[in-house]
Amino acid sequence: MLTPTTSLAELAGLPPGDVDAIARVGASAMASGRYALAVKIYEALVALEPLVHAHRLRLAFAQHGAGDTRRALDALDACLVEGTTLPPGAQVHALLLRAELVATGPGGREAARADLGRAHALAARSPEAKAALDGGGDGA
Amino acid sequence: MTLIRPPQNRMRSPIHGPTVELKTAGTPKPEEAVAVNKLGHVSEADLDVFLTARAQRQRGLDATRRGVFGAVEKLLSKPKPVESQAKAAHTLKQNIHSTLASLGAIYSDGFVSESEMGSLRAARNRLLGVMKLADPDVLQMLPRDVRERIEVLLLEPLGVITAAATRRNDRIFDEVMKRDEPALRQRLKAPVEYKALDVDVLARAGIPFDAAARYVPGDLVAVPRSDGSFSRGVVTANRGPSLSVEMLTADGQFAQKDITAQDLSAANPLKIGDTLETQQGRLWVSGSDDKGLYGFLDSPQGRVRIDADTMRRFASSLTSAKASTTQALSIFATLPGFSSCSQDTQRALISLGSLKRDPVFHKLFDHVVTTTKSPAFRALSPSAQAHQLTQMLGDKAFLPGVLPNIGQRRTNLSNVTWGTASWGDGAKLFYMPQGTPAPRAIVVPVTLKVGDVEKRFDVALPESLPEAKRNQVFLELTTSLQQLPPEVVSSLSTIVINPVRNPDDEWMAKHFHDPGFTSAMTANGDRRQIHVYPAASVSQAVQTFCHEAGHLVSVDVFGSINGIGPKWDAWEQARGADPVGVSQYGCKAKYEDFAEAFALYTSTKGTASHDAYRALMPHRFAILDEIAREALR
Repeated sequence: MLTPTTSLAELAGLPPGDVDAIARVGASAMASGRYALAVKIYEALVALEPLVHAHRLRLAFAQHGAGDTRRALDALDACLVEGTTLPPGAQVHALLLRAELVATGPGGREAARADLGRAHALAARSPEAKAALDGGGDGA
Repeated sequence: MTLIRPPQNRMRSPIHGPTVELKTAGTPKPEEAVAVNKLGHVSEADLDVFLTARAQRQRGLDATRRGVFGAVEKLLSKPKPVESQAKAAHTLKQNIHSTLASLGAIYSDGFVSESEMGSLRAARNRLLGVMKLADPDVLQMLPRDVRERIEVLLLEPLGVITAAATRRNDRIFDEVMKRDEPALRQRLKAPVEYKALDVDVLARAGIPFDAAARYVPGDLVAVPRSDGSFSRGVVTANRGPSLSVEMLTADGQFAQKDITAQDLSAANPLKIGDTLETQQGRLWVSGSDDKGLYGFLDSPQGRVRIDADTMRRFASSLTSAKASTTQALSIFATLPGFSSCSQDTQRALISLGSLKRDPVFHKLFDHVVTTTKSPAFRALSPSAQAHQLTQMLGDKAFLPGVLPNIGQRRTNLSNVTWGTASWGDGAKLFYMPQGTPAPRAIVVPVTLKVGDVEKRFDVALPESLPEAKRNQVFLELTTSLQQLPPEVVSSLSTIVINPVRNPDDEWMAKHFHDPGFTSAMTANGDRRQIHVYPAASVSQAVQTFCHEAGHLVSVDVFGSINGIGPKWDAWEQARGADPVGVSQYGCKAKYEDFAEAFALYTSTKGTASHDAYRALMPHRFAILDEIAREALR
């Protein structure tokens, strides 16, 4: 029953809208710059639904905002896995953020270029990803 | 369930050198590499543009982060498909009893496996993660109906399970502490057992220096703590993505921790007990303290303590060089003609592959690889292939005109001290066209300290130079001087800033068959002066200084600056024996070749690529080794 990937929200019988309501509280914390609170909320969501990559991407942005680059990168790595459930546009944002964060680390420029390459490849296949790349305005 | 590993298992020796088990390491998947290459069409310049744009947008504008996040949130908040919402839900409350029974079963018979302990800790940590929602700051922001459901359906039952998991975890922890604490204290006190790390074996197996796969129970590690400090710990289990460690806290208490493979790698760029040869000397990874991993480097200046960041840089450059070398070896080893090449040529071909950051030699490498893949080349006999490979290496067309600026050194500006200016006799200092009266000079004594070398020399400027221009020249000169290698600094005597171009340019143009020849700098061996002309470029100044210093050094070593004299024979022979030239300008004359090679040698010494250049010019670098030793003495 309680496996490492079980959705505790589902197990508890919470309607999906309740999880969305928690996510909205996280977004509200992000919008007001309360990154530590946002980290707490998104960490709880990840623990609640480990297989939902969207929570991990939100957590990455919150940790980036809180200045914890290493944990932000861990979260990005976890949501950019093969078979990710992120929509293409969100994947582009994740790739751009990871490229930015890894570029200064050892051997990071090569990894950053690979991420930008992946973002461009996604944009070539998906209008949503292209819009995210163009909207990001950080195109290489 | 299995019995906990007995403490004596923790003394197993770490994975080192030839003892690495290749089968456990896995090999890089070629298709992945191909895919990355296909996507990796973003150039270095593109990346710079991206990073600059990103930095500009975020500088002083914290809202940008939120703006981007808002866009992400829009993408993530799209309505979910109906079927995903229709999943039948269980009731957590109904599962409380069976969950508690499962927790109670752990250690009920007095036995527990390391993985069970890890799972229990992971489950407890996850539950504690969800319980963060119980924070009033979070709950108050939720709509009332949502808050009530979360409190009743989720937090209430999870609170019961979390408390049970914590109690069970604490009980097991107490038992483990009783059993393991003496062994842990003994292991932490034991002297480090050093083992030579076989870099080649790791490179061939594709195992990074910091891979968690290198750790087995009993290995010492630096464990990152939540407050940013580190403890020295002992690995008790390696489950791949995560490891269990036992350690003593800052106040000497026994503690257990699960650490992700990534966190372990970040804190341990090398493994305690590793010892390996680097360009700067032998490196010893000795242990860890509250600041993290530490070790020692046997540098030419003596044994120095180094931290984890320094070790990471060493590991990174060694990994990169080895990976490139392995790649090059895999390309050339399949060619029948490769084994017919001389050893020098073989080494040079393999080393070319690791000079990825050198645009000139990387272009030559690409050319060689492309040629070797052609059917025409494949059809050649082994000896003909060997001949062509040797010729390609020696092809002057691929060399740069002059040595590009490769130096990356930077010493502290405070190490430059300007003395009081004195008036000099211009006629002795400046090179002026015949019949032109020489201007008077302002001579400024300068003291420059680079590493252990401290050198005093003079800088002469024309008195007629406007003060603003004089200051600008000083600034540019200072910028360049800061980056000079110690071997070059030790050879400096006087630097003369000439107001006009070199009157000898005309002669040089004829001599080198180069109609547009314009001197940037020249060296006067008799007066030990380096002359700087208006054509000198700031971006090339470091390399040119190194080149001109090479001319001055050649006077001491070979007895003349212009290649005349029997002592130059040794250089000429080395030049002939080396597979690769240094630059097209160096090919014009042996004394220019020496100056170019000296500049390459001094400006790359101490960098990751120095050994690769050495493989291209082994005989000349052997002479330069001796010269550098003398210069620093």
